[in-house]
Amino acid sequence: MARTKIVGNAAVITSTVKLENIKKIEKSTRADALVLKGGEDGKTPIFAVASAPSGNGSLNSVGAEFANASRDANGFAQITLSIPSDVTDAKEYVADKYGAALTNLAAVEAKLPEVVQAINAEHTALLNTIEQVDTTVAQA
Amino acid sequence: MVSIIVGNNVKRETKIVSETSTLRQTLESAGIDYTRGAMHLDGAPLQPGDLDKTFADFGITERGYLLNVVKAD
Repeated sequence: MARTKIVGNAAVITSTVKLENIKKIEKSTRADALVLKGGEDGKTPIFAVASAPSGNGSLNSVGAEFANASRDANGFAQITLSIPSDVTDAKEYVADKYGAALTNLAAVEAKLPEVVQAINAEHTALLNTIEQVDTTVAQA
Repeated sequence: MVSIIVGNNVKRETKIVSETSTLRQTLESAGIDYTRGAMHLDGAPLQPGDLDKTFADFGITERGYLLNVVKAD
């Protein structure tokens, strides 16, 4: 499950998934893995994870948009949220406002490692089918 | 992210897209032909040029309806 750290009026949500892996899944044929489905028929999208090109990212009841990566070797996807200055209990505020979203985010995160593994395997197999021909001609 | 029910008279589906997605991108990703009828966002008619605006431009930040309605008299 994603971890949340509160510093002052900012809450930083750090995913268990790397930002680069979210982007990798978005580009692949398995982008559906980023969507959590439910509803009466079990096929209605209820929560989605995506990368954002800029900004701080966003989190609400229907999705999480990650714009940044953690500033360490892991590069985990992060969202930075603002907490209103009149909030007295920041932890309770985050749990109350984003609790359901964080639970849904955890459900999506749980299935992503094997998706990334499958994409990497496909990519490796694809690379093995590509041959680079050496076109340099020996100079006389 | 925004949860949008997108469709027309006969087909509707839920898409979750970025607030910065344009209405046109959302319609095209759902395979909706938007040339056949009047476009409505949350029940309000859209004007020419609106399809290239984002959901955030319309102040929609969580949920909405984007429908192409053909009225046959």
